[in-house]
Order: sequence, then structure tokens, then C-alpha cells
Amino acid sequence: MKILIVGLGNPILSDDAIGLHVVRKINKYIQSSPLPKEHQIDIIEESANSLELVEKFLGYDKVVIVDSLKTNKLAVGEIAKLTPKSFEKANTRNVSNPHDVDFYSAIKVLKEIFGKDITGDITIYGIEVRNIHEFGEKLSPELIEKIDIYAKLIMEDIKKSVLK
Amino acid sequence: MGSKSETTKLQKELKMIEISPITRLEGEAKISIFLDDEGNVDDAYFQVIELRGFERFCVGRPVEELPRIVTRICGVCSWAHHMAGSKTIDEIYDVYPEGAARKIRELGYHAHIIHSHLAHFYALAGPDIFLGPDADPVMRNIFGLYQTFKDITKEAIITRIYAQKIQEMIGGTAVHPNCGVPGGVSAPLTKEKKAKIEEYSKAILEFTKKSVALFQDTIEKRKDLSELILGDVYYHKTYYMGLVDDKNKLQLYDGDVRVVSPDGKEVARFKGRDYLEYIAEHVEPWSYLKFPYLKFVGWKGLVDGENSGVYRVNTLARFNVSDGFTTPLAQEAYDALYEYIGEKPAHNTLAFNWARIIEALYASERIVELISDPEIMDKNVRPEVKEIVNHRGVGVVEAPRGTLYHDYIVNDEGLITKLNLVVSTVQNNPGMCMSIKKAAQKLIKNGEISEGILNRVEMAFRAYDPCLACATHSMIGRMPMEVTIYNSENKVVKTLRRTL
Repeated sequence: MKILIVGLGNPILSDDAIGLHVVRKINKYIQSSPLPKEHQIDIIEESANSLELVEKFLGYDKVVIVDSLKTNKLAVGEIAKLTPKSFEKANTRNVSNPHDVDFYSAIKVLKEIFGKDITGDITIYGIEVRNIHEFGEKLSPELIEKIDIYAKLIMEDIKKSVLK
Repeated sequence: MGSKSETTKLQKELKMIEISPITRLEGEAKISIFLDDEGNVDDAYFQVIELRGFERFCVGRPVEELPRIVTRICGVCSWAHHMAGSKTIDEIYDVYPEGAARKIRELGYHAHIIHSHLAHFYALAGPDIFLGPDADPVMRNIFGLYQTFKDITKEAIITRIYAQKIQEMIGGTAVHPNCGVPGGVSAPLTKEKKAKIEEYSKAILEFTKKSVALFQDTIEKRKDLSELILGDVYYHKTYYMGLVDDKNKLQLYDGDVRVVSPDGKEVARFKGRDYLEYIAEHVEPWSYLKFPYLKFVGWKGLVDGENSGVYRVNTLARFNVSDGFTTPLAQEAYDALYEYIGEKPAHNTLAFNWARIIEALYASERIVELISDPEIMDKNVRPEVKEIVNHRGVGVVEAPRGTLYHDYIVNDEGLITKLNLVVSTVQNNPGMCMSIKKAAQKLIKNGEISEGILNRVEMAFRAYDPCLACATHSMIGRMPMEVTIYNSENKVVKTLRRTL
């Protein structure tokens, strides 16, 4: 199986970078505890918008995204497991920027165009964050202390789904 | 890791929550419409939360790092910031790209313009243009457009990918380029890249030609669209600003800043570094965004006309300040636009969309020109740089959304002590506020507010292709736009979370 793990976020926008930190940690775990060699894992860090992001899924069997989440309903540091379907009604069809289509529509339209080359197996891990309005390279303390746990949890989840 | 007990321990330590679907994510941009006693629009405001601390983040950092840092302001406009930042450090080191270096920068930048303009034209404005503003909202989006016009939508997506690949080959990465160095670029073009870029450029040009023809054909056939473009709802007589060359031809990478009055007279022409002599910023207590205006006219509020310092940037503004293009096909399309509109300057906000696809055609012709030029293969693209020459540098480019200024001040060690960025969306803030208010006032009557009417109000805003809070790439789909309608007692009568 060809797996893509994407850390999504802006490295200089405080807690927005949490996804990048987590995938770096996942990368270390994979080095020390690799999946069986019939599985190929690629890990990338991205700040791309929906269409550009989804275009990167081409050719993968499974995609995992780790990103920050700001619902103000979860406690800072809580992690949510989502699928693209989660976004269907989440915010009508809005996006992180008016100059973009929303994530759900981007997947839907690229799947229509590229067929099975865009996988249906997409999981998003969203970590509730505090500060995404201020430029800076520091994460909130309650996120820093959990990076290791996020990485382990996500890897366990990936292994469970791949090795089942 | 991996044992069952450890996993259980981890799960206890941190519960993984499954929520589907999400019902609400934090919103940061909103339009508030206030009705009077009769249910007509008294006032309308557009507001957005601005990110904080970018200047503080940059102070003390080596200036040569800035072109790479500024790409993180925004995943959409990263190339524009990278080019403005690169031009600013050219001034600081007093070394300017020539020959292949300049051409490579322009090549990457024009590919970015194509990539950005196609996204807006097809994915964002496209549903309004081709499906109509009153089409079923379920279909009035990129997916609906694909369902209705499969071939052209597919081709648009694939052409964007070609433009992105060119950006990637030049910039190192497509989204956050790192090729700009003082006076040049980090690497020359290889033969392999040239061959690929030639192939992509030709395909891109064919598609943008087709897109311009499609738009012209659509307005010929669709009276409703023609009325929207030419009508009064989306019409504001303002000043315009943009870059031109010495023959007043439209430029995107470099040139003089030219400003024309609402009746088309040149009222200012200056070098980017002198922008503070011409632009000032007004502050309103209800908005995080500032309101730039022309200093020599003055701030008279959110009103249009010759006595108001409000000016607009972006595609149609560039058309209005220039005498056309240096390339033949774009020039032909430029002439057709003005013939159709019937006046120059054109003040029709919805024609920003038309100008956008013509500009994509220009950028396509330009990349074909650039990649066909043998000089672009010259290996001498990175001049030797010794020390700081100027303690202040200003770089200006035309971002897809309008004129963009970067202004850095450094100390003797080349560390940033101050910086100021004047971005295009902020310069269009007065224009967007005026456009939203006018459209709301013209379209909402007697308290009747349908989805289609609100979409037409938003079309006024969408035509500017604004880029809001653009560095925030927190959770995909995190920034919904809210439209709230208040009655004459300031009570909310309707709230919609809207497609933009």
C-alpha cells in the first residue's frame, strides 16, 4: 500500500504548525519501527490550499492529514478524527481563504476527474489549538507536551488500518 | 511502541474524538447588513480579523531570509510576496537581476499569475458566470460547474497543474518558492526543465485563448450576465493604480506605479520606493483592516468620485491605468473589453473577472516568449553580493489581486529593524466595502432577502478575489464567511454561512 502522510500548517503561525511538528515525530517513529516493506510511506509538510493539496493525493492508496483545528468546542490539545465527509455540511462550502474551493468540493471534483487515482481512504486528524492569529514559532505548552502522544496515536491508528 | 497495553495507556491519556459532521468552525470574515424600518438597507459592513505580529516576528532577522519568510504570509499569494521580497533585497544590496536571472523570475511569476487567475475564474467566479447567480446553490460551485461543463472544467484543473509544475521547477516548491536571491535566482534552468516548460506553456496558452473566447461568447449570448456587468449595481467611479512600463503597457513584475483619475487622466506616476508620498491609511473603529487612500486627494469616507481618495487595484485597475499589453492576443482581448464596456476607465466591478481571464492570456503569451528566448539558458544567474549598500529597500509587484509593496529597513549588520507591507486586498478594502453596501442597497428591498440576492451581494466582493487572513492554514475549511442581517432595532433577523 502506498501511504501519504501530510502535515498541514504554517510553520510561523504559532499553533497552526502543530501538524508539521507531529508528522516530523511520526517520521522518526517510522524510521525506528517501519511498516512491512510492501507498504511505502511518504511524509510531506504542506501549507497548500485545497486544490493544490488534493492534487498531491494522486497515486496514493491511503492519505493521512494532520492539521490544527479551531472549533472552540474541544479543549485545547484534544484530537479529532475526521473524514472528508465531516466537512460536507461543516461550513457550507467555505474555505480557509476566499481564493480557494473548500476541501470537500476539491476532493469531490478531483475524484470525478481523476477517478480511482484519488483515493477514497482519507483520514484527517485535527488537533484543537489555541493561538492561530499571531506569528511566532512557539506552540502552546499543552500542545508541546502531547506531540509524542499524537504521533504514537496516529501511527497506531495507521497500523491498525493497514495491517488488519 | 505498538504493544496493546501501551496503546490502551495512550488512549486513556488522550481520547481521540470522532466527530462527523462538524457543525461549526470558527468564522473570521463577516458581512453585516443593517436594515431600516422599511426593511431597506441602511448600511453594510465588511469585517475580517487580521493576523498579528508579523512585523515583530521579522525584526532582528537577516534581511536575506525575508523573501523566504514572507512566502508564509499566505499560501495563495506566496509568489507575489516572494517576488516583492526579492526585489526589496535587490535594492538593499544594490544588485539587480539581468538577462537570464530576470527572465527566470518573470517566468515563475507569470506562471503563478496564470495559476491564481484560473482558480478564481473557474472555481470561484465561474459558477456565477456560467451557471448564473440564481442557480441552485447546491450546484453553484466548482463541482456543479464540472457536472455542467465537464470538458472545460477538467481542462482548467489540468492547466492549473501545468502552471503549478512550472512554478515548482523555478521556485523549488510550487507553493512557497525559495529561488529569489539578491540580484538573481538560486539556479539556472536545465535543458530538461526548459523542454518541460515549453510543452506546458504551449498547452496553457491554448487553454487561456479558449477561455477568453468562451467568456466573450457567453456574454454575447447571456443578456442577464451582460446586464449585471454593465448595470449600476456593480459600478463605482474611483481612482485606479497599477504598474506600467515606459510605454504605459501593463506590467506585472516591474514598472512605474501609475494612478489615473475616475475620468482616466494620469494623476500620479512614481517609483515604488516613493509610495509613502502618495498613499496614506485611514482607520475605522469597526474594522481591523485599514483603509488606504490617495494622500493628494484625501480621505472623504467610503464614497466614490474625483473628490474621494479611494482607489482600486487588481486586474481591471491595471487595465485602466495602462494602454494595453505587449502581446498581440491579450491586446486584442483588451480592445474588445473596452469596446464592449463603452468607456475607459471601465468602472464595472464585475468586469474584474473578465480582465482576469485576459490577463491569464497575457501571462501565457509571456511565458511562451520567455521560455523561447535563448538567453534564458545563460548560467550566469547569481551575481556576487558583498555587503549592504542601502539601509532601506522597497519592492513592488502586481500581485494577482493588485499592487503589492514591501518596504524593509535594516541596520549595518543587515538585520531587519522595521518593515511595512501594503497588500492588495487591503488597498481594495474601501472599494470592497463600497461595493458590498451599494449592491446590498440596490438588491435588498422591503426586508426580502433570498439566497440568490445575497449571492449577488457577495458577487460584488468576490470580483476582487480577496485574500483574507491568508497565512492561516489551520484546519481545512476553517474560515467560514458569515452574512448577518440586522433589523432597525439591531436584532439579528437572518444569519447565513456562505459560499465564497
